Amino acid sequence: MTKPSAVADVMTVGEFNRRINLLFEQDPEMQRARVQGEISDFKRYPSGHSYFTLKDDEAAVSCVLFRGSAGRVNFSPQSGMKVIAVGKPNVYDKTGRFQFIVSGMEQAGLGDLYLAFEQLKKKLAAEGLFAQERKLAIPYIPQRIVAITSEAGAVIRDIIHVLERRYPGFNLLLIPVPVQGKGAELQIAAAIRQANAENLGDVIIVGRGGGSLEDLQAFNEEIVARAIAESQIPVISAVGHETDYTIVDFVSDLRAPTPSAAAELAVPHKARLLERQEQLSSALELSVLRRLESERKRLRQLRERPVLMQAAEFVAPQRRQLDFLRQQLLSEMRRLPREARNQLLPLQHRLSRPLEQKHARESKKLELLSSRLVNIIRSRTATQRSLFERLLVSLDALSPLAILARGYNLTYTEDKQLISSVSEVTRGDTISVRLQDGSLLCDVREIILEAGK
Amino acid sequence: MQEENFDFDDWMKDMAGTDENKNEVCSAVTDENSYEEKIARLEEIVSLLEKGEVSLEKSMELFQEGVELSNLCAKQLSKVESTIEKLMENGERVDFSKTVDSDAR
Repeated sequence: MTKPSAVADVMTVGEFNRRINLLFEQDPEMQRARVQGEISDFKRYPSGHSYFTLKDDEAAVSCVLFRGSAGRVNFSPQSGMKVIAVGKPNVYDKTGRFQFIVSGMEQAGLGDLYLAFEQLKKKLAAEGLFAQERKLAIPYIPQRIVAITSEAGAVIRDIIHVLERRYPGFNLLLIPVPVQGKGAELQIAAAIRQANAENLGDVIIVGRGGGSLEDLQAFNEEIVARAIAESQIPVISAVGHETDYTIVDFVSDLRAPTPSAAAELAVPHKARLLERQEQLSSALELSVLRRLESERKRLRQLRERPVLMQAAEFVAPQRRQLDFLRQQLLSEMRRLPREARNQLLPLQHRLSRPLEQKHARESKKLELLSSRLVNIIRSRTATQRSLFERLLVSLDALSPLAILARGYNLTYTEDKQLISSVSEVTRGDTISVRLQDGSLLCDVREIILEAGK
Repeated sequence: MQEENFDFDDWMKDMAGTDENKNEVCSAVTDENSYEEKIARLEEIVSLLEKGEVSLEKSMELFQEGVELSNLCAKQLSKVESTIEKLMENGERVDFSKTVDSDAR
């Protein structure tokens, strides 16, 4: 079958594209081309394929990294990276789009920004700027929080939102700054210095949302790092989202993974503080009430002690024992026959005399002992009574304290004597009235005696 | 006769308050101190009172101090109105809460 000559050397578009690819395939070097350049516009799709542009100062080429090949790349390619890509040229049949099909990739040195970051990090670390002992303590409850960030965007809103939730009653001062672009670092550093010079707060949060290395550049600048290192006000850094570390994160006193987290680190949870304060307040009252109750009980028990009963009761058992022995002796003797008794009579005398003498001695001793006991008890009860009185005064003075809070008060004379009757003051006296939170010094203008009292 | 479970001399000592300060860690805490310090002292006072080892007079003093501290702490937490300001370039401070309110909520 012949074709019209006019048509013989005419190709379809598809044939044309395929022929180009055939040309590429005839050049083995092009089939395993190694191309060095910087990745930009890197995009990874859910399919697993990635598309990006490889460029250098002079030129650019579209690249595709298919899912199957992506698994062989042992790093995570990102825009800004310098790489050597291995692959082959290809014209896509359907669109005629020329692309470099990358089958492998290795890093060709790190990007300039990354190198600068590493160098600065090393330099500042060597100066000791990241040292733990340089870190300032974040105040437990800050009086005023200074936020240095963009006034637009989610960061300041996140911070305010968290502060409102955790610690209503906070004071926040925003120093608005650009957080990326040319000169941003100068303004951030200036804001930190201004906060210090004008003592604008007692903690600083400096930060921005996440972004590429280029976006975060202001937070990797030496001038910002130095301003933070010199800050007398503690600085919490809040740059990006968790995985992004910047120089600012290393030099700040506390690094928060996100702006919300920074706000959480800046203030305590107020509801918990209130809870604790209330717990302590009632524990305080309870402990004193318990103590008072136990002191009252102790007083009651002291008053009922047997030591305060009749001393004679202590002597009685001994006296009874003596009587019993005597009776026993007499009855034994009565049971003896007369003659034996007669025989025994002198013996009985001999026996009973020392016994009676002993009895007398013992009785005397007992009386002496019991009178001493009575004396001791008397003097002790006297001391105790005066102590009871002191204690009662303490109790009376103390117990109203707990209820001062409910509006009761204590009135004292000028020489601190508690007044309980109008008869204890005269007109013109100065008296002091103690309330729960202080005292009033008052002059007595008039004394009104209530009828029947 | 011996008094069985009551030591009179100990009681005298108690009343005279001779070993007063042995359990105290902090000295007086005032409004000048931080919230943390005030709460720490309050905690200490409560635990001293709960142990009941201090004399009655000392307990009274501690209780008074505790009430004052508790009031100071409560006062410090009582403020709920926040201020949200923005520092202008001319050094002026303007309310920023409205700006945030309008586009954040």
